[in-house]
Amino acid sequence: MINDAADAADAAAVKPALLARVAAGDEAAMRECIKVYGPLIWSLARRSCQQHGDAEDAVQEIFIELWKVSAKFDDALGSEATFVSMLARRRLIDRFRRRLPVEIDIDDTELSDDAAAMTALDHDIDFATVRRGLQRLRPEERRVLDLSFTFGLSQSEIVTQTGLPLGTVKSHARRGLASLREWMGVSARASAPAADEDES
Amino acid sequence: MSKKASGDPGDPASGESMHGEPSAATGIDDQLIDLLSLPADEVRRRRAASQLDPQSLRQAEQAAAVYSVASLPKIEALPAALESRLLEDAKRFARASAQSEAPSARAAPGPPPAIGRSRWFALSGYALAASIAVLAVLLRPLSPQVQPGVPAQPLVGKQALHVAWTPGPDATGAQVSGQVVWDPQSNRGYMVFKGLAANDAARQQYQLWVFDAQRDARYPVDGGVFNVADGQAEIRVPITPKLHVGQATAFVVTVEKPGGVVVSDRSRVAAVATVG
Repeated sequence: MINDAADAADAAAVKPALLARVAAGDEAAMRECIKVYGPLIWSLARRSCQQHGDAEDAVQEIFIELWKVSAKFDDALGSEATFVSMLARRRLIDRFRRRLPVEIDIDDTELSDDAAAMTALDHDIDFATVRRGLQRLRPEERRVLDLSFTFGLSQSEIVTQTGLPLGTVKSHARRGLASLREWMGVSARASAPAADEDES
Repeated sequence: MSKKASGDPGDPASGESMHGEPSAATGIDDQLIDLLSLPADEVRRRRAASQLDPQSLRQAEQAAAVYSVASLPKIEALPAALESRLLEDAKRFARASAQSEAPSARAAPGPPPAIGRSRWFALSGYALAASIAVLAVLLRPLSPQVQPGVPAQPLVGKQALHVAWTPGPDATGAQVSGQVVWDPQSNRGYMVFKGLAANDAARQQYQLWVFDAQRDARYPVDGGVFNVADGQAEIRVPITPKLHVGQATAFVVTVEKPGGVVVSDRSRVAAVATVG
């Protein structure tokens, strides 16, 4: 665990052009990239990979990919942390799907209260809002979103894993996507009322 | 989430999302959700063939990534050993980038493309050149050079597997015999070869692949490259795979270019040892 949230925040408050410096071949920027995003990528990999060694391989693969495509980053389209998270999620899904079929054990999906380090990762996304929203979801809904968004299972594969009807899986996934968009939209308009307060 | 939506989670016939969006929107979301779970190359293929707005897909990708991060139970520190390897990777990557930059700068004097401002889906030639050079350098260490004749690591007792080599279709292995000794607990072992043809290390090397039941068979673990010198009746080669092998199912030796390859086309298989 990162125990010192302040350190994490300092590390995350990186120069805005970190990935641009990586793209220019700046080794110091690559080292900084490891310091800033290493814990995030490692945590995502640990969640997706059943084997410790596999998670380590995945992290190396993701960093190499990140450095390779760093020139593609456009800060007009989102933050660096979001760019890194998107890339990591994609690579982990690619790896995960190569190993299918496997039984996924996601019993440990309870959200912890330790959101400080996560919040510090990205100033564009209000993770506190997102997590508050996620805490309102039922375990069954969370499970569908985990299997779909984190592990990259198709909806028919989720039906097989969970025993839920296909319509329910589709419904949970749709609602989850819509809610995430809403929560992310709120974070971009800091002064607007929190979406998760809207219980219409 | 709205109470209404939570109370009616399984109504596929409704055609509405929790926000009362029309069915056309839910259809688009269904397509987006399908794409979110596909491998990246399949996403690219389908995106090109679909009418989906790229911005919608990007937002969906962002939403899924935010979900993955926000639902993490905790953020863990990088293991020290892994961090060390990443720092080594960074060093090699930076070196490779520098090597690829110099010739392109000579060929096209003037400022490099404006990196960091380009569109995500438009990889610049600069980055592409760097990627090729970087791959060439980075992939090399994936094939650790093992030294024939080095005494094998001591194995741990009786659990070690002993598997005989059988000749592969390539002529280099036509006379091969010997065995693989593999300790699944320590993830180490050694190979004994008799009759494996000598190789010219400047032109080709032997490369070991360890097939692991816990991995996709298309991606066996790289066991490193090795050579056989002229006149060596028998050689002993230690196995020190870079990656952990969960359950070895086969050991395969291929003939590859010097330094080895990341993924073998398996066109030249010299020897095979199948477990069980």
